[in-house]
Amino acid sequence: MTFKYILFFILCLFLIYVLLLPKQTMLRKLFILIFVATMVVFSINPDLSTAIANYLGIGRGADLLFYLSHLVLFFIAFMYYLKFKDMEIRFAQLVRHIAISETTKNNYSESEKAK
Amino acid sequence: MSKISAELPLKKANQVKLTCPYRSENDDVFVIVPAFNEERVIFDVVEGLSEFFRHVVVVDDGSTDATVECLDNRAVTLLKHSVNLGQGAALQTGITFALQQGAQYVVTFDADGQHLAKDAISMLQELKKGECDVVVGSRFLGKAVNMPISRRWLLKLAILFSNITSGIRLTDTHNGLRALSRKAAQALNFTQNGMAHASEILEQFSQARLVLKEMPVTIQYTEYSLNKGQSAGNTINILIDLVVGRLLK
Repeated sequence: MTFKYILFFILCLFLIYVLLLPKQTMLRKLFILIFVATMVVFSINPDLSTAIANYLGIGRGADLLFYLSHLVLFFIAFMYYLKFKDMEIRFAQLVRHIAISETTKNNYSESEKAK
Repeated sequence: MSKISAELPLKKANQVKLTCPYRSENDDVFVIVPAFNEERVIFDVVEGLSEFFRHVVVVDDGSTDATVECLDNRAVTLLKHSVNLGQGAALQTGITFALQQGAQYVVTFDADGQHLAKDAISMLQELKKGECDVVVGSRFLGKAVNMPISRRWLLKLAILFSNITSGIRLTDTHNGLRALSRKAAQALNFTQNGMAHASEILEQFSQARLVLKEMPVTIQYTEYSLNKGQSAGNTINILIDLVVGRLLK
């Protein structure tokens, strides 16, 4: 029984922390709000998750949460992968810019003169 | 590594007299040589190229050896990546630079000494006729000196894959020797920094509806170039890069 209250407390702290973060879009705040609210409901009333799970054809509520968390984590990992690929391309552009501008400034004019 | 260095002493620029009898007809041609840790061979490659070309652009891809020092006092343009990015990124740097300098034709040429400068010349002559936008070299139409059988099969697989994904039929898709017109060079925009660019380049040619032509070239396989080349294991990584890159489009 105590665990329920600890979970509830942690979730509320997380919610306050996230909502107070600057530079969060409304959409993201809404998403987190829904996520935390669902978690709070499930932590107070675990039977509800079992009822939903049964409706979806999954045995236990814990299993439903397990599957959902997998989906969410995979999605997050994929988003970070995309971000990482994008950073890689930007990084290459930066290195390219430095390489070309350094050469055009110094070496290229000199090597042209040498000829 | 120490064994190789005993056999092949480093050639430094001051040991060889500086002659550069370039031909003026190739003044609008920029030769891009992407190089990563090629201190053993880069000098000879550049030497061979500067006999024919005025604009030889070596893109040093963050080499940790004496590649840059080997090119001291040489009449080449050196572009230095401050960190290692991969061959695709190095090629793109060279091409971007060449276009900025007003190149009409761009030749890509591997730094490990497997290509012949005279092949590049004949490809350029073909390109300058204006019938096609890109001329790519093919070792299977031409000669592949000392190619190991494993390498042959690896390449055949890569060619099959590229032909299926890019929609262009070629006999050799992974040849580093290519001659591009300005139009073709402008159509390129590598997103694959690493080795997967060889397939990506074909996809972009195909998307830009460029006319490709193949010409036989000679590839000289040496112990050095084989060690620098792609291992079978790395092929898997390249494949993953390509599949993911395709999913993201």
